Amino acid sequence: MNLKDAWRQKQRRGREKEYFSPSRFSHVGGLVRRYHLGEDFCQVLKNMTAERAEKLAWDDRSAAKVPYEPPLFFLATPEEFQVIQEILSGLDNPYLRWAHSPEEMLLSRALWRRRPGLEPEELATRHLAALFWSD
Amino acid sequence: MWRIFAAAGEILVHRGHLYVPLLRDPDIHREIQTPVFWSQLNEKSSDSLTPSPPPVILSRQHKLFIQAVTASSLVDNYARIFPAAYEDRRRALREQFSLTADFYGVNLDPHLVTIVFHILPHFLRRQGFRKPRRLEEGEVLDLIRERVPVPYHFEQEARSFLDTRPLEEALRRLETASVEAPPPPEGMVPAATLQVWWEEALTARMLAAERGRLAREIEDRERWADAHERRLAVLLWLATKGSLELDGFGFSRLKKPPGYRIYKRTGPYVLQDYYRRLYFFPDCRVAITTMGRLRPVVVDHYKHPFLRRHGPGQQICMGPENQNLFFSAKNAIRVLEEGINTLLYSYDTRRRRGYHRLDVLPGMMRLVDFEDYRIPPDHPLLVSGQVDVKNRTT
Repeated sequence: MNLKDAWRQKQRRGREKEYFSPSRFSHVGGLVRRYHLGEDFCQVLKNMTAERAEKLAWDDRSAAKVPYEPPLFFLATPEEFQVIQEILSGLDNPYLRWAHSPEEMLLSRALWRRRPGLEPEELATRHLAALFWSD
Repeated sequence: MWRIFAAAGEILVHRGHLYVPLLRDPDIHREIQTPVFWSQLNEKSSDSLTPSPPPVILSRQHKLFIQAVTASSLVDNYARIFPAAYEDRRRALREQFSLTADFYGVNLDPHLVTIVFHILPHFLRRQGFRKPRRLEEGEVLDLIRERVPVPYHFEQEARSFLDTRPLEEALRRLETASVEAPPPPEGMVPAATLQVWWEEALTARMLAAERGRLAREIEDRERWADAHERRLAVLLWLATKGSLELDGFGFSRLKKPPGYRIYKRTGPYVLQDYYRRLYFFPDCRVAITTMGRLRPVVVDHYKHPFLRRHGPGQQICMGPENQNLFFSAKNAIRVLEEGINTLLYSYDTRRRRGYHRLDVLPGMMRLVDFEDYRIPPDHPLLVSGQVDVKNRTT
């Protein structure tokens, strides 16, 4: 690609709209503040096994998806920051972005391992526990 | 920012600035983890002898704090951001120092001020002024005093009004209170302590403002006392009476809704119809009120081609240009003049304007009859020139 083509490509990309979406940090931060998550939640996260995830998914299989609008930007207190970092490192999976509640956050990793190719529309509208058991 | 007073924890105050705990996102966290950041922070903290602006970030008790606002800005801007709450506090303070009595000069309605000093001079017939110029407030009061006798007891009231002793006593009462704003506390302070300081500083500021106001008031009254005692009597009389009529222009206070009716007399005039027959119209008052939109009405029981019926308080037909003007000196003068001009000059013998015609056409049903206004061409008022035909050209 010569300089002229590169410039044209840059111009074309500049004209396209890039939709803003909050970062994973903001998404999880909003949930941490909304549900006052702390050390207790981190302990539950550390002890989360595949069996416990299955049991949680079974218990919440008929739960409705909680509406949640993540903040565009999030600034955390030092305590919140620690919790967010632990969640992000402990639940590093692409489905975390669609978790709307602490239970869904806990289920996101197990669901991704079980069904990795789910569509964003499904993840955005149905509870992750329901998706866990549906075919 | 005032919500920090309700916070449960402590607030860091350093060199007059408030510092709040530094909040984090991944970028900020990355930045504060670098050794360069901490070395710069320690350098600034140790180098406290040289006069430099306060640091943006401070470290206390293993926590990072970031500069927010100056403590004094919470006092300076409170009145602008919360005017109602500030006014409540000011009122409470004035009650505490017994300053609520009437020390503020003549309590003139702003509408009355506009009418007397801005509308009345426009309609006054003046002698001795070759070029029309705007009259000063004192000159307006002098003109009124020359033409209307002011009761004597208002001059006595003016004399007592100019007595500045009550104001001086109030000022003395205020001097016992401290008006020096305390300096803001330093270091980690509980939010409640900071609120106590803020309350004291705000009170001191309000007291200083009250003292300044009283001092200015005393100065004003002493200046009035020199030359304007009689003018002040006129002002007091107008404030009490609320009505006046001079040179056909007048105003009167309305009770419900509270406001003023401003009027101008048309004087008697003559209109002619298509057949050159003359109709004598008696004097009437064209008025507007200070409330709502300005609409010229004829106050008196009256009939005219531009009024819908024969009765009092009718709105004048001003044509399709419906202007929604609200009360101001300029608009009031304009609307009054337009109303008078409509009655005197807008009747056209050839064109159909207004609600009625003066002459009767065959087959026409008359809602309002003007036959009783008919006068002969040799009427004494016309011959002597006391009245003239306003629509002679149409």
